[in-house]
Amino acid sequence: MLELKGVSKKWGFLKAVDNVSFTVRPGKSLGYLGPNGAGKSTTIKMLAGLLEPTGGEIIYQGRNIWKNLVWFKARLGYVPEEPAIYSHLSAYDYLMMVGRLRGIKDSVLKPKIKGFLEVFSLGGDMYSEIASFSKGMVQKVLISAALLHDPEILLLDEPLSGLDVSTALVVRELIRHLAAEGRIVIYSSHILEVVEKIASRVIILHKGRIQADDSVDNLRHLMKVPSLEEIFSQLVLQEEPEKAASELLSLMKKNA
Amino acid sequence: MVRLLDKFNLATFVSTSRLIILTRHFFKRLFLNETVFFEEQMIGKVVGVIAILSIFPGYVADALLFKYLLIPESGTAWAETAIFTTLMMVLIGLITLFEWDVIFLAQKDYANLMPLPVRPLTFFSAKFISLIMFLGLFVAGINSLSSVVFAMYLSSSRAYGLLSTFLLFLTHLLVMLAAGAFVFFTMAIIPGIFTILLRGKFFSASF
Repeated sequence: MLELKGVSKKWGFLKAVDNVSFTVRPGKSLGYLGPNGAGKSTTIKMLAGLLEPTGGEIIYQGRNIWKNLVWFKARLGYVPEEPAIYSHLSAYDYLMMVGRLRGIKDSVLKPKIKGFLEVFSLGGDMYSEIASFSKGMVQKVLISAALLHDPEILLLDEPLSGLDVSTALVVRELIRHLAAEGRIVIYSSHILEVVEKIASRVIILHKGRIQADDSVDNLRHLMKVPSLEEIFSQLVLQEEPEKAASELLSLMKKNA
Repeated sequence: MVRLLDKFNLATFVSTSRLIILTRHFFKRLFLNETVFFEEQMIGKVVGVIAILSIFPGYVADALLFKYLLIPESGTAWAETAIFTTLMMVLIGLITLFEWDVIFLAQKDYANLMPLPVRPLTFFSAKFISLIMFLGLFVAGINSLSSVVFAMYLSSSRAYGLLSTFLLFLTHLLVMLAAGAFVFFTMAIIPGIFTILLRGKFFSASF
């Protein structure tokens, strides 16, 4: 069980994440939603052990992850939002390095990497430098890197970014299977339709605070609206999209 | 107890192999920048740059020791050797200063490596070793020509011919490596002393 207890992160006076608490049990997939600057990626980075919380605790299997970081990271797969990958390496070399640093034996690692890259249609490009890859291809490499060691927890920050439709469908299906097999999946995204289909529960974050935490069906029922998009609009959107769009149009045409 | 020892050995082996993987990785990364991006370009560029840079110390050694072709060296070359060593120490100090940043994790290292189950000490050790290796290679490379000059000029008065030439070449190279190591570790100690004196608070902000 993964548990966040009153987790906060401050940047100077700015509270990026403010007293966030939730629990995710094995076999559950959690959708983590919010507008830009809501604190989603900051929470994910704290969960990945990249940022230390300024307050609160993150507990996994009864242990504080910040006191057992190496142990926790060995159980974690993480797909970051910004793909700042080593572009001078080939996809194969990058995955070999990640796998070896995770302690996977070469005899296991080599066929595994080839398998992942074949499934993601990167078999022909596995020895090419990542610098020559498109955004979607880089994303496939990052997803492979997060899955190589069969993690217990999967943190996905906008994992479908740049992926083509067929690969996105594969990844969506994969996430469902991973949760069904008893893993913890936390999925942070702006794409509400995908979260609606994948997540058994959603958390909506706004200005660093949790605005809603329930299953999509319960939220629909409670708020009496038909879709997650409308739930999201009611909870976090402060300006009307039509009004904002017309304002942008008039600004664009000014002195044109 | 045996199990505990086995566990300890396994943990030591795993962290050692991680250290080797990371050191190799960081060492390669030291040569890659906007102009040298791929590995095959890297080797050619590095050899070329070191070859060009070795001309300067070679020329200085030649200017300092040329007189020993005309007059036999009878233990007086220590003064020229000291001047040359000082010049090399200043050069290595400047390079250490410019390359010092690489001892810390870059944004790409942070993004790619921090989510992995590796101790921060392993990252830091790998960075430190890779920088020492880089400086060692650089010092040996740029002093290759000057070592030949030293060996040629100062062995003429020795009785052992080729052997004494080779020994002088080796000695000069080792002295340069030792001088480089001395400068590097002195410069590495300075941030440590400041951190202790200023209790980390003021000094950490500048890094």
